[in-house]
Amino acid sequence: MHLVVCAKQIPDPETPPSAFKIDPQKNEVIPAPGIAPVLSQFDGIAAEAALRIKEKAGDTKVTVISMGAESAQQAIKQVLAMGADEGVLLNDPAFEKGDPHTTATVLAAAIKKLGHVDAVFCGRQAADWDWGEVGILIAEHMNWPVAIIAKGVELQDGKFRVQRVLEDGFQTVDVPMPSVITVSNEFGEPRYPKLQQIMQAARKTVTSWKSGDLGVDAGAVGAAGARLKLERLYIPEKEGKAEIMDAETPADQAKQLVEKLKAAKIL
Amino acid sequence: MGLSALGLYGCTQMSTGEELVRESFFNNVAPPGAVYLFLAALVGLLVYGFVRHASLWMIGKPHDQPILREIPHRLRNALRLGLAQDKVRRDRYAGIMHWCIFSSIVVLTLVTAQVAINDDGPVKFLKGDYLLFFRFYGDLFGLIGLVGVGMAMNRRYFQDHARIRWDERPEDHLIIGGLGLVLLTGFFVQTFRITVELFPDHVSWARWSFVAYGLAEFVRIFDFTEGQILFAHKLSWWTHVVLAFSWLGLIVFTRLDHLFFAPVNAFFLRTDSPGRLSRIENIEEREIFGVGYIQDFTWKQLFELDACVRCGRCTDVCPANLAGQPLSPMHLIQDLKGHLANVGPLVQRAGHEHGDARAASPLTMVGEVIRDETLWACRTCYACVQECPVMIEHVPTIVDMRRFLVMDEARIPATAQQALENLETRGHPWRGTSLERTSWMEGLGEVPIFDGSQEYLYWVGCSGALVERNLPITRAVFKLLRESGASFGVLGQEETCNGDPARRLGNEYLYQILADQLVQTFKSKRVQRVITNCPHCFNTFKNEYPQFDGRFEVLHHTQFLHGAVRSGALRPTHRVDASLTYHDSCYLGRVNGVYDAPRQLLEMMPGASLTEMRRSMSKGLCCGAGGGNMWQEEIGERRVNHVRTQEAVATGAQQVISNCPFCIQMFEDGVPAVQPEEDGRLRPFDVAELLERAVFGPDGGAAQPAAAAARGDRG
Amino acid sequence: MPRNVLVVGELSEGAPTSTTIELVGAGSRLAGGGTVAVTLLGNGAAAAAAATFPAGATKAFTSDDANYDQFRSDQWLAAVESAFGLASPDLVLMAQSLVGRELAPRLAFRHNTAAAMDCVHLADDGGTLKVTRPVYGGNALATFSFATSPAVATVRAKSQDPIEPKAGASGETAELPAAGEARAAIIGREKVEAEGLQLQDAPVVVSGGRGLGSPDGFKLVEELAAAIGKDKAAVGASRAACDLGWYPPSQQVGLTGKVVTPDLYIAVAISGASQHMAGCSGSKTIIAINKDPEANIFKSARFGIVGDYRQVLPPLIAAIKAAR
Repeated sequence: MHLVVCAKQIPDPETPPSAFKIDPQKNEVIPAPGIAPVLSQFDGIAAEAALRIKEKAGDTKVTVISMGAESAQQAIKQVLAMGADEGVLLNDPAFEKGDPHTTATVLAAAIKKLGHVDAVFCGRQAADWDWGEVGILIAEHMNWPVAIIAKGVELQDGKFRVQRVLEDGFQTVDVPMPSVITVSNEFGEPRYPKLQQIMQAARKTVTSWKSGDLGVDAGAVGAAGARLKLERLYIPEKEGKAEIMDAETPADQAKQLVEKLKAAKIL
Repeated sequence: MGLSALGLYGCTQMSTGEELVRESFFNNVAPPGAVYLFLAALVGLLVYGFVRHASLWMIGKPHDQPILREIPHRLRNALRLGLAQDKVRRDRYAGIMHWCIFSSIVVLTLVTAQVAINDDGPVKFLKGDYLLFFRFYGDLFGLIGLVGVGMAMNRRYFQDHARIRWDERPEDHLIIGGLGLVLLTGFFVQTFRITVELFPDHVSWARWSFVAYGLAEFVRIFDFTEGQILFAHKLSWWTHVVLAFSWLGLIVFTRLDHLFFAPVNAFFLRTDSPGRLSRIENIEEREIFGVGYIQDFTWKQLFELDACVRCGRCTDVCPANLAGQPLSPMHLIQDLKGHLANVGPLVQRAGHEHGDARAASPLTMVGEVIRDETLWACRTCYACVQECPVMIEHVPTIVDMRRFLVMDEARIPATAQQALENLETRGHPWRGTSLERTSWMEGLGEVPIFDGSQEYLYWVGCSGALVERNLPITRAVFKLLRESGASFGVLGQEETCNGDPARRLGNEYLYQILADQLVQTFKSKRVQRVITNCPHCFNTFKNEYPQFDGRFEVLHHTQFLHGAVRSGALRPTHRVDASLTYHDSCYLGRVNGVYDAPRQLLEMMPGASLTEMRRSMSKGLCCGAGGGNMWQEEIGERRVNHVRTQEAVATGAQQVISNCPFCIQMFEDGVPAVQPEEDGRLRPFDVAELLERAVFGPDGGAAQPAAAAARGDRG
Repeated sequence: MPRNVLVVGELSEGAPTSTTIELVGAGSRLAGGGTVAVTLLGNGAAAAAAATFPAGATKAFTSDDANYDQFRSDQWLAAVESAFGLASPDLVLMAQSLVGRELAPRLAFRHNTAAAMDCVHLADDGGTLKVTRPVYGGNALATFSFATSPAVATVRAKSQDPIEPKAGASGETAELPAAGEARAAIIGREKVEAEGLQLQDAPVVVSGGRGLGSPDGFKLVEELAAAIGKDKAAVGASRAACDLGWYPPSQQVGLTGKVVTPDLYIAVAISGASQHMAGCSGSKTIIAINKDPEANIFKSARFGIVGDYRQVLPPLIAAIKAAR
């Protein structure tokens, strides 16, 4: 089998709020000093899902692809260290500042270029723009079925049996191959790589493809091809500070709080 | 005692004018040379035992310290810790007991050796006054030995001492009972001998064998014939000789082997700081990183296993064990020792025949013989190492197995994994913190950034910067440094973890990356002197960074502040009026021996009164956070911090003072659990927070950058 | 300029969901005189259509085929495509639900346009539709316009107000074809119901986070909820706490969990990462209990107690019990 994992490098979602800043002119996040970008958490989990399939099925290749800056090599290496076999970086200025549609266009072109692929694993959404669309759009490009927000994936009789998270429980669906599966945090934590794999990953070379290699029209991707135009990016004004209970002891603070709630007719 | 006894007996020989000569093979007990057969058998057995053990040690890897360097230092250790038994004495009762038995065996062995030399050598020196003295001290140490045996039996059979039951084996009764019999039969031999030899003409000489003399007087009551007594002599002689040699033979098969292994292990003891874990050299080129199989230990670690006597002192002081968590250092060492005995020979054979000895172990050592949770429960607090009377170094052994779990197997508790991942991606272990490295600076005026022109780098550390509770400590240290007029700066945003938690958790690779980076940063900024907030940073900078060519003068903030108060640069003039108890953090106290500076600092604060906890100084108990347990869920009956908090509460003090951000957090967490009532609760503070109050007054002196600036002369 | 709006409605026990009513309301505000069509699929759809007209719909496309009851995106997509052909919409609105999350991108792809997900604000800016949605885990808001038409957007529950019901309003109805084939086969379905009150329905939600330090911490959180009343308060958890296995994922509040809008939300030992706030910021009153006075949660809370929850909750539980 050949499984593909889509991995995205994003600004650290755990950046302290005080360090999260936006350049209003460029409508861009200003990278917080000393805080390095990370692999989007859901993508790490997607890699975990693919690797578990690989371990069970045997004779399976896992390729990780990432569209992003040169620094996204780091995200690729992380998934390689977890046990993926090959890495492809899609790095081209033409790809930048796109939307889910253009991202999916580039990724789908790369997946097609990889040749035979049995399944694509994506995170349920990237933890920066939170669209949650790319996996679905890749499936549309490939004309494959998709199962989103998976908390469990198993290979069964040549199909994927996927446990999906619903609002009020879970659903089990069978998806034929090839298909796209997007994975949610309920799946479980990604594995901690063994040091030997980290070393091997460090020595692996990551293939780099540009728009020309993929045969995509540079005008149809990135900012030029985006169908959603970012008008404004801003930090919402918070209502300000809470009214903090100032009584001496926690017991008195608790009483004070209950009094306030009664006065405000909340309790 | 010896002297007074001499006085009592006087020089009996002189007055009688006759000379006592020791008759060889009195009573024709045995053909000459028979004893040498026993001796030869014993020596053969000892050699066999040694070779058998040694061949197992040799399956280990090279030790990371050259064992034949620093010989004087090592000999001192062997004498102090081996012969003088410095550590054995840390338990008074056992110390006395052990000294009695040990000295008795040594002296009586010398006594026997003298007899042999006298009998078969050219010079007969066992005669006259010396023979009397010889018999006197022979009896004396025989008696001392019996006292020791009595104390041991009392502890084992009457006091029901808990430690003894943890791993009691039949051989234990054999050793102690056997020794008692050897000593008793020795007295019997002497008794019967002098009954015939010295009575009734030389009773004054007989008195020198004061124990045998007493027994002889008793025997004489019964009016036995000489033939009967000589028969009894022969019988007891044979019993004594057979028992004595058999007992010595136990050395090969039982824990009696510590007789040799303990002093030798003292010689092998690390000569550098215990706070320094071994560096894995050329880590990038290795295929195995930790110790998952017995043959991956160093020969020294394997040797240590054989030195263990199951005394249980390590387990007795282990914080995890005290809290009912799944770690007993004694059982860990014993389990490894058993595993070595079981699979060592297989590994040896496989090693020779197939080259890959790894496959020879039928059980996985880490996981099956030693369970994962046992390794994770360790606080790396060194209490076990501190107490071990045979100088076993448990902590490096445990960390080596953690290295296997983390780097070779990637098997880690989820929360510890998160801490490690956070170290990798964010350079600090505090996942989800909402603070920045510079958050503590708010409202403190200008905070100098270290640029190489200042004398000291004030190293805040991740805990000091990113954990809310610790910000007041960081601020207090900063204000005190400024007030003292010291020339210092901080790194602010440029600080990253120095790797200590990664190393203790077993991720040596990550540690090396972080340490290498930081050494480069320090060098590029021309850092020479560092003041740390945290004893863990202190330890790794001081003891471990030299492994990475990072040699800096490192002070913990309590050391610096102590000096500043003594020199008058800081004046604690405001009363603090509080009863305090002081908690030694493991890495400032036990590991680095800094016990006095913080205590003296507390005593210099007006109105502070200090009460010690039940366990303090080198016997202090870990707060529970060490060894990466800050980031793990505890498994077991209780939490270590609750146990320690209970001890602090028991002093009746109002405040528990420590020097470590982790300890403070553990107390903050433990106090509400131990004291559900809010009134009169124990409050945890850092030494620096208290000194801040004493120097600046109860309002903390606000942020007064002007004070130091105005002084100018010292800045 | 009038705008034709198509709302992909959803049913719950034979009635349009409250989010469907909100979307129809938002649609009618944005339509500017254009049609507001709604699709309803599944058992009882035709009957349920009547409830959408007072809410602002002018047309309803329905199919009573029970095969639609369980969402299969291939089948639903085909049905929505038929409605799309009939309504020629300029704007398609869906809920940010199981349905919308999957259907919106697929529909957009098939019409060479784009879908904007999880919008909290929809506005007509001089004839241009602008949608605003939280990004960077809720740290920031981003406003987008569409370069292509029609615009497809999914909308967060409770972010849109329904319109004042138009009593007696009615509209056209049309029948959609029965369900066709789907590539993914539904094998099973498991409902995980929290005991008693559902998280989304509870007037009070008490949530615990990673700051609890251990799964045991939830005992106190549950006690607090019980003190408020088993019929009033439900217990939630932050994603960090759920990911650590301290509480069932079904109770996760946040961007990737449940969005709750209770009258009172009590956040215990939750730092208030934006990703969590996305799930609870619609609450009328938020109370924060946290050791860290700088915690983000205090910025959104109306009342706060700075302290260790272990010290704060027991007296709070006692005080609430006393007050009742």
